[in-house]
Amino acid sequence: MKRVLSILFVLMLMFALVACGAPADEPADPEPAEPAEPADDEEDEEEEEVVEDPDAKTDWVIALETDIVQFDPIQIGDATTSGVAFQMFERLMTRSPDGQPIPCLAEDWEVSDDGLEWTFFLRQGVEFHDGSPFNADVVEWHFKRAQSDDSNFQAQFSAIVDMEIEDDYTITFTLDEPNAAFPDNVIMPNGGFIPSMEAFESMEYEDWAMEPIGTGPFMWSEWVQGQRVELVKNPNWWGDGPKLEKVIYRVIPEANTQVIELETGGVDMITRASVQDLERFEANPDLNVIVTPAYRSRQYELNVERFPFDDKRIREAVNWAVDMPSIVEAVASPITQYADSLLPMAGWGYPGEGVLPNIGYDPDKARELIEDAGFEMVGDYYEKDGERLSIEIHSPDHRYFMDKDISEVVQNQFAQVGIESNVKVMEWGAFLDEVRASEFQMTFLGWNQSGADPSLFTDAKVMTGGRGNYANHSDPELDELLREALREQDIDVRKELYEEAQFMINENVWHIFVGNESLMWIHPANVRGWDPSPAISGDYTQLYFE
Amino acid sequence: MFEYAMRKIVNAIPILIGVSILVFLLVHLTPGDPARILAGPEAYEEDIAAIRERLGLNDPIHVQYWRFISSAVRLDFGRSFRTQRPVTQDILMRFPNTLQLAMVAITWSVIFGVGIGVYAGVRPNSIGDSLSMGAALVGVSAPSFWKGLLLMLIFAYLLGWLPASGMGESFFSADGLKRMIMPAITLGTGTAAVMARMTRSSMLEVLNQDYIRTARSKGLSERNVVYRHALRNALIPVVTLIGLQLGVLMGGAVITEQVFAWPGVGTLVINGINARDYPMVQACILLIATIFVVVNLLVDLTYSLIDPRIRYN
Repeated sequence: MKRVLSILFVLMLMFALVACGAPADEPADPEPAEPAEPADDEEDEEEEEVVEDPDAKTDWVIALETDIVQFDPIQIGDATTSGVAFQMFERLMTRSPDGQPIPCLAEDWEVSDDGLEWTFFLRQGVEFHDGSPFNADVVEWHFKRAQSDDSNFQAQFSAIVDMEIEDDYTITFTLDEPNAAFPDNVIMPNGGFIPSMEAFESMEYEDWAMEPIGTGPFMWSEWVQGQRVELVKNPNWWGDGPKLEKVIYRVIPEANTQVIELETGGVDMITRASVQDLERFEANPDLNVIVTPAYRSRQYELNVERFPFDDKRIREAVNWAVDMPSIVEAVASPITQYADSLLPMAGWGYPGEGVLPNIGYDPDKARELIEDAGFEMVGDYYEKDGERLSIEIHSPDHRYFMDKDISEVVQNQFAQVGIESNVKVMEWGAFLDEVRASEFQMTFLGWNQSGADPSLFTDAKVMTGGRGNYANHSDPELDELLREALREQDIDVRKELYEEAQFMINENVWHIFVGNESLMWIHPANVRGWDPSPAISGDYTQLYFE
Repeated sequence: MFEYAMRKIVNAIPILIGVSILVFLLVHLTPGDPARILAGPEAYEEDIAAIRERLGLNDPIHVQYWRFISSAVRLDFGRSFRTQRPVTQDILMRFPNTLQLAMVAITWSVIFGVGIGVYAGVRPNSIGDSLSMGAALVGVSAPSFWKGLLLMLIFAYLLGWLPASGMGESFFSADGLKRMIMPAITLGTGTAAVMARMTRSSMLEVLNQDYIRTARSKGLSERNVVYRHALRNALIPVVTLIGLQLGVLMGGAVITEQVFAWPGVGTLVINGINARDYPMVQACILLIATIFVVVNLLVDLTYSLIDPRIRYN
């Protein structure tokens, strides 16, 4: 018993020591990750192929935050499943690194002069993983399903009023009105993924949805619920590659655990980390940190129907009051970069830094505007007719990179000019409820799109009644401009129209712009052949280990 | 005893019905719309409405409750909003993992906890007593989240002895055992500490009883006095505690499972709550409640084994 006790005592001491020393020790001592690697591989022999020679490593192990859900493309709603599905399914078109539509299952396409008819010429000789052929019948069947009541993307595809099969490999879509962003709907992950029709007809629906059969570079192999998903190379893929034999996903919910798994070789890639971890990773020569701009814009929405933002002067004042470029730099760099527009900087619609009219940081000017709006300082805060200039800042926590932290700094800077505010941090589900019902004065909100077309942002966020226009923005002139930009097919003309639109958006002062959130990937330094771009990040076909 | 057990089982029915109503109301009254979360903030309002309709969320709440309870009695808890799969199927796949972890944790923590408790109870106020009770206090107070990461830091990151997370393919393999160690320690320390403290105070009380003095004056060896006479009597409250703790471990493995990526019911509950996956949350909570009831029944029945004076009439 005495021995047990002394062991216990030593353990306790150890716990206490490590607890005090851990965070400070880590950056100075990145080496311990190394010796741990072979040890871990040995233990994993039942799970993963043991490869003595690192040159021969052909499995790519990725950490997932949550388990996959199900693979009926028209019902996939979560990013995790979407990322896994991306390896197995393909779309008619995919994207070039700069976000433009390029051929995938369709080798080419034509748009009629009136912009209403889109004819796709399908790639011939493509087979699904079950050996069934890919042809126009499958395409028609898929998009009909995507428009049906079973679909989560009914509205997205409602623009297609007719589909006509010209021959086995030619199909024409007729739209209800010209829509330059139509390819973005077709390319959209999930709803645009085309599964095997033959399998759908011969299998039970539940099995079909859990054993995805597509045309992509990797094929479904195994799923251990809550633990791992394994995909194997599709040897018959029409494209070049893949070089990997396997893509394995491991479900590891906890961010800290993911980091330890990466550093001990349990996984090859993680896609999120804290600012502190990133700094440490960057100092580690064995790891590569890749940060890629994405079509993810972040801003505070100012509800123009609520006090005090019904007054444009106050909307301007809160912008002058906040030094957002510095906040973002200090709190969320390098993942979030400040942007002065609603449109993502990585997309073609953004005119470049310094072009758009933008408000800077000038607390005095903020005070002037507030006083101009009839408020006067009483004690530490402004008041008008006995009502204090008080703002509740809605903010989710850990939904967007450093969301809550940014909100807290904003609160602080508001206080410095005499605006009282509090940050209402909410659980995601409850947050969505209130935001969707426009029950907020000011809220932190992001808008993620897989495509760069400006309409994906503008039409949803600032067009009157847009589906993401929770802050009740409305400007008839802007609406008209946006509609014109969507009908226009010439990309250069569209670019000009969207620049004009961004001028109008900024002049309305409907937001406090925060910036664009990037995607991050951290993996061993010996990974080659993979260059994630904002438009297409999950393409592992050329990836290999050196 | 059979009659007693039957009566207890019958008594459990209203408890479970009560729990079902509570759980149902709790999940339905919690703010957050499942369809909205499912579709995400970028979704079209029409699509969200369609999802609501498909999930049956537009029906009046009593209709929804009736649908839930009438199929629940047939052990059909409906389909998950998220995965569309039958909830029971997912839970059955995961429950053995949670059970395995909880059993290993309770086994080591009882052996260890009772051992330390006896050791400390026999020599109250000694250095050994203070040390072990101090350690127990740390064990109770340290959050499992912290304990888990600390273990991982030491044994996976610094020493590289154990794989950081995940579950092995089989418990009875070297890999499976290695992967079990850290989660089981994390989950069990709290229980071990509570056990130690409870056993100690129970021992102290029993050791002051007259029959212990009698046993000692009869000339029985100290070992015999402590283990045959004192411990057996001191165990009654400890057994009650084991029962309660087993329930706590099954329901409370959530955080440990989360930290160690252990594919148990805990992660199902967390994901279920975040996604407002009503069927999943309802089924999991009912399952945990049922376990509590069953374990308590078993505890009641165990009393008579430890103390033959206890009879069920």
